[in-house]
Amino acid sequence: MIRLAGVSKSFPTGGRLVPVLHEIQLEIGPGEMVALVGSSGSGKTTLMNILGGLDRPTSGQYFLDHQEIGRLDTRALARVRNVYIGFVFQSFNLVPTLTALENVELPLVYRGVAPAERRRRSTEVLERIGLGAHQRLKPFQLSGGQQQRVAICRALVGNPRVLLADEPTGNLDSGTSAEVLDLFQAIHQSGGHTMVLVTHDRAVARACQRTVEIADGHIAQEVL
Amino acid sequence: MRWSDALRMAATSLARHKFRTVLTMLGLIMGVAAVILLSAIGNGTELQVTRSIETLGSNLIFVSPAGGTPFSLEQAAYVQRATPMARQVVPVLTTHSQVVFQATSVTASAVGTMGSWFALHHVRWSSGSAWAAGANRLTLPQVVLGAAVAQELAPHGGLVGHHVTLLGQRFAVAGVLAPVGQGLGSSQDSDVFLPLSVAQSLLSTNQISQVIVGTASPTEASLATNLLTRLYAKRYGTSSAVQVGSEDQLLAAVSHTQQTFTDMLSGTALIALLVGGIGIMNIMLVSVRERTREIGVRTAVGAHADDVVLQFLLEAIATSVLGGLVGMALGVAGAGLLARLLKVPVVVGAAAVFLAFGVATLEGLVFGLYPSIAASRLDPIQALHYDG
Repeated sequence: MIRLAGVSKSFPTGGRLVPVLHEIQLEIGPGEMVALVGSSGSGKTTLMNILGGLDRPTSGQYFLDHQEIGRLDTRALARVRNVYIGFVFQSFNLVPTLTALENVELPLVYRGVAPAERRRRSTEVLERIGLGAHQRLKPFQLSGGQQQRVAICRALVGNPRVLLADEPTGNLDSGTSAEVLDLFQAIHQSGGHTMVLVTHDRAVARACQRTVEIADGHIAQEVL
Repeated sequence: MRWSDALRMAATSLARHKFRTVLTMLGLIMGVAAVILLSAIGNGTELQVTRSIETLGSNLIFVSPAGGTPFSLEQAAYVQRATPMARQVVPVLTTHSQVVFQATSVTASAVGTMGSWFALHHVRWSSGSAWAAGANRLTLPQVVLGAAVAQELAPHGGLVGHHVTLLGQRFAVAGVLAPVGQGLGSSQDSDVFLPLSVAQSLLSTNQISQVIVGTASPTEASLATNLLTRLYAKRYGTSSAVQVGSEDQLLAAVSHTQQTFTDMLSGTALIALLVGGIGIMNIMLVSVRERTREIGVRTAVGAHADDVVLQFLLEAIATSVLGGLVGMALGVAGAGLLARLLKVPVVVGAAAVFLAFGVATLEGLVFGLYPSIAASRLDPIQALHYDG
């Protein structure tokens, strides 16, 4: 599903290029659930951004479902993010002025889905996750765990092949973290999504089938 | 993204940031209202001037003696003979007099003239009419009062048929003129009119002060002015013995000044409107910064840079259209209120309304463009982690 072939990434800092990722080789099969671990500054977030189509490799090739992502123009890349990828962030990143339902609808808005159909699908996902009663509330009216579950609904509503989560439990207390983690596992078992979770949390890593550790821009070790 | 969704998104965003939306529109609202209101006041004043020009008659020319030249009714006959384009020739003898009615008295310009004066000046009658033809004998003197004079002498009207005294003579009031308002120069409202022969005999003179010539058009008036100027210069050997002038030139100049005044008022308001547009840019730039994360999220879930530009640009245009509409309503309502409360003449011009609304809408587009492009250029990765 995902294949990185010699992907490097450098950022210009203070007039010179500072390498952050070195020649990454990585393959993630369809339906795999992978934890991406590493200390901060290891390059795991940069890797995540490349996987999510928010950033492009400086060199090397990234294939998503056999398409080379680095070659796509900005419009095609936006479409890949919209159709192939669902994002979950550490700080939830819900739009504060929109209701839970409207937040979940967002990917479908940019896909051009008609309003009635959009609402139907978003409500369905929210109800499946147990937030049916909260869909008219604004983010500030929801608890942290509820907000993150709304964000997960938003990632799922477009039925993407790949679900990417960047420290999804990082802002949650341990009880809520466990609930959200259970949710990710349930989604994985039922939906067949390919999932990549960046995490510090050992519990999250343990829940995954495979752990990839990044250190200084290299893949340090893989634990199956 | 669908157009309908883009519009819906803009509307939702404006509705959920009501305070910010109103703040953004405020400058535009005031600018649009100011353009409409000030140009309405200017137009109103201009209309008043034009009306007073019509009352005075731009087809008229005035022939008056200068430097002690003798000027009697013979001059009126001469003008009549010498000027083929003269439709009417009306001699006038002007003086000042107290006008007394019962215990009230008022100072007025007393105009001794012919009955044809009233037709020449297109007067409207408040009550009564001109003195009867053949009535200009000293034994049966009649007088016509200007509106202001009549108002002062008898606030409740009903003067026709009563007697007033002026120039030491009792007169019967034949008619009262309708008010024309204060236009340029003196107004006939504060004049009293009596037959020329009566005036001459009361003042013991056979002289007149002026001959008024009525022509068919301003062109003929100008032609007659030139002709009479030449003839009098030849007759007296100097151009300074008799003055011939059409008031048209003066009035045209005044009207032009009035137009300039209106343009200046509207121009000032237009500047205010432009400044209002800068407010849009200001608040939108703040809004883009405030919503940096939102822009990051939208990009992450599949928005293209163009979608972001469209979203913010539509918000700007919707704001300016809305502000323009509110400003329009406010301007028109304000003009109506001003007309009613201050009795100021106002004329709301369609041109000013469309100009103000058009400029406001255009400003949304122009001043919204930069913030919108700035929003679309944000790096989504940084935007997602922005801590504002």
